[in-house]
Amino acid sequence: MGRKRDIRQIEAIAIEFDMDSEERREFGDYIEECKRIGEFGSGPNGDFTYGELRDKVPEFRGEN
Amino acid sequence: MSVVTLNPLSTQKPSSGSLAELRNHLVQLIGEPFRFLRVSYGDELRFHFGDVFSARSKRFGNLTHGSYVLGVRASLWILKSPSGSVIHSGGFDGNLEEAERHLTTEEKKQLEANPMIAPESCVLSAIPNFNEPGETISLQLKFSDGSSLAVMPPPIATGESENADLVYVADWELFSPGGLLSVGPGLSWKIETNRKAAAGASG
Repeated sequence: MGRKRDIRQIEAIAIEFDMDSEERREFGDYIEECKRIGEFGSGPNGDFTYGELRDKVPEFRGEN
Repeated sequence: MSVVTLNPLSTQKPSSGSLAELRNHLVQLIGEPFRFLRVSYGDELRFHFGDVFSARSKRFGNLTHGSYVLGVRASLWILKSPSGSVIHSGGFDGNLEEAERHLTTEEKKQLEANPMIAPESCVLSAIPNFNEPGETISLQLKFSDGSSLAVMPPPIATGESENADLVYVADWELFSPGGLLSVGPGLSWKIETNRKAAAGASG
């Protein structure tokens, strides 16, 4: 199950990092943009692992 | 953020009144112009309507969003153009592996460039309904150019409703200026009022 797993991971990240629904939506868009510019995760189809998604949060928030 | 669960997760079919309430909540989408389609992570289709705003995140540059955003999450979907052309997610023959297939980069670009709905077409109707055999709630939108969108949640996977470790994902959701409507999994739906709207209502 690929697509739903990806969406579920974003939901889990949003809970862990206390994102509101709008930030969660934009984070999903951000990760998709990363893939489209060639930043792939190590999972199948270039998807990001949960750990890789966690590492993307500070970058997305402009904290580093 | 306040959460109002109008119909908590249940295996029981909600009353017709609940579905009527859901339909009433969707009335706000009627008349809003379609702006664009963006495919998000997990190959989720997101349809943007209404006024267009810049993204809140500073990382996005010129990326924008509509004042209303309909996300189909991991549901099945069908888009029909005014001429009768159809594109869909797959999975309607029961082969859910096809619906879980990732779109190629080219497929995403084609969908975003030609989402079957003409830009500026207004929403004529937004109708939720029970998806046979009554396990989930589907959604049908019709547009002023004659195009349409149907969102049909797949059946709840065996064991999913009992697994407390799973993070639940809505079957479809609508962001609006007033907050977020989340429909599913199953027959549940809820409205989360956003902080800005709540402050405006109280002040």
